[in-house]
Amino acid sequence: MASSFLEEPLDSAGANQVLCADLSLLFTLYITRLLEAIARTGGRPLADQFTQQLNLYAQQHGWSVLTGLSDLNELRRRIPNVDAKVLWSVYLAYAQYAQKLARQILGEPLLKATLTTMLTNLPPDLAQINAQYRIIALV
Amino acid sequence: MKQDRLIPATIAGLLAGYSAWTIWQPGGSAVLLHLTHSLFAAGAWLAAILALRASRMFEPGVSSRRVWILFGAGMTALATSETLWIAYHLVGQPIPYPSLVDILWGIGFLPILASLVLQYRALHVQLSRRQKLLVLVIYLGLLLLALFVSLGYILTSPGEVAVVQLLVGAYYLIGSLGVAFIATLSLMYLRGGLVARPWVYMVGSILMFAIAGLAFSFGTWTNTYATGSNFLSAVSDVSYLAGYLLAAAGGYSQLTLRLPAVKEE
Repeated sequence: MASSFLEEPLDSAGANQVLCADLSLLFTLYITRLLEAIARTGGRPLADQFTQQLNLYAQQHGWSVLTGLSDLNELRRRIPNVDAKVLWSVYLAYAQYAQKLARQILGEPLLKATLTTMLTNLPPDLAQINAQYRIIALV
Repeated sequence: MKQDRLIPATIAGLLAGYSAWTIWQPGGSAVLLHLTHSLFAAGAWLAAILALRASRMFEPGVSSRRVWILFGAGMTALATSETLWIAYHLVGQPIPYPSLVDILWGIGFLPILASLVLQYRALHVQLSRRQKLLVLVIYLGLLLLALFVSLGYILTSPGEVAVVQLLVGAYYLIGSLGVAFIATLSLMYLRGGLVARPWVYMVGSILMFAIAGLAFSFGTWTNTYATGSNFLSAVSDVSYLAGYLLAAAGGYSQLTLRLPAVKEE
């Protein structure tokens, strides 16, 4: 399981790759759940605007240079193979931006409820990764 | 002008214009009567079309889609009722009570109420007991005030008000206020979010229908309701028009929700 690699040094190429995969999965799950909440309450066009805005932010903040992926949607097909610590800081910044956007759209109470549900329903291995790397966080 | 100011300004302008027409009545009371019901019908059709279009912004199976479909269906029934009223008057036929106009109005209100209840349930509204109590106290206060005014008249004028009229009045008043209470809780839960914007108008619309319904019922009981004839009738008609316009604004607001860019810190 992913959590077993957390204790391993990141200079191990295998551990680095697994952590990249876990962080990518966590980040993708986070964005997907936010998108679903927005689509449910504000409609699909608003959810599409959220995706566009997030992709624009990624584009402006070196996503392609740092990961070699064209945009965030490519995460569904490929996992970036870079230094996991760099990837973590990238996801952390993007996740914080995504949360700001989601707060504007959903408002504080609904966002909080969405994040709480998300955290409660995380699979145990991803919950452990999130506890350490705090990609999904209640503010 | 920004959209969040343009919509209220347009509604306020239309209501001010209609109120001025009610006061001065150019062309006489017959013109005012037809203008009033034409505006009701136009507002209701607009609200119905916009609500049904807004439903298409949500994917099939999503509760919000059903919320807007129900609201649109209710508004379609009210719009048909208002259009039938115009048709009756154009052919010069007297309208019996209850007529298809009344029945459609009564039935049309049900999906509207259902849509707001469904919205509340779909959101899984989580508010503190204190917040819920506060809203409940406000709405109970409004209901008691309305009952105090109504009962005051009924008790001092025994035999003046028919039981059917009483029941119909109570149905609209309790239904509107009950659903406005639930819709207000939904709105509080969405506060601060872009998605709350349409619901500000929807709650406003239901409250306007509650005021209009109460004024209309009271006017019917006291035999004083006649468009343009007195203040009570003006309150009822302006509130009905406001209710339709706010419902249309809700649909329009949903259709034009746009995400502004977030400033980075």
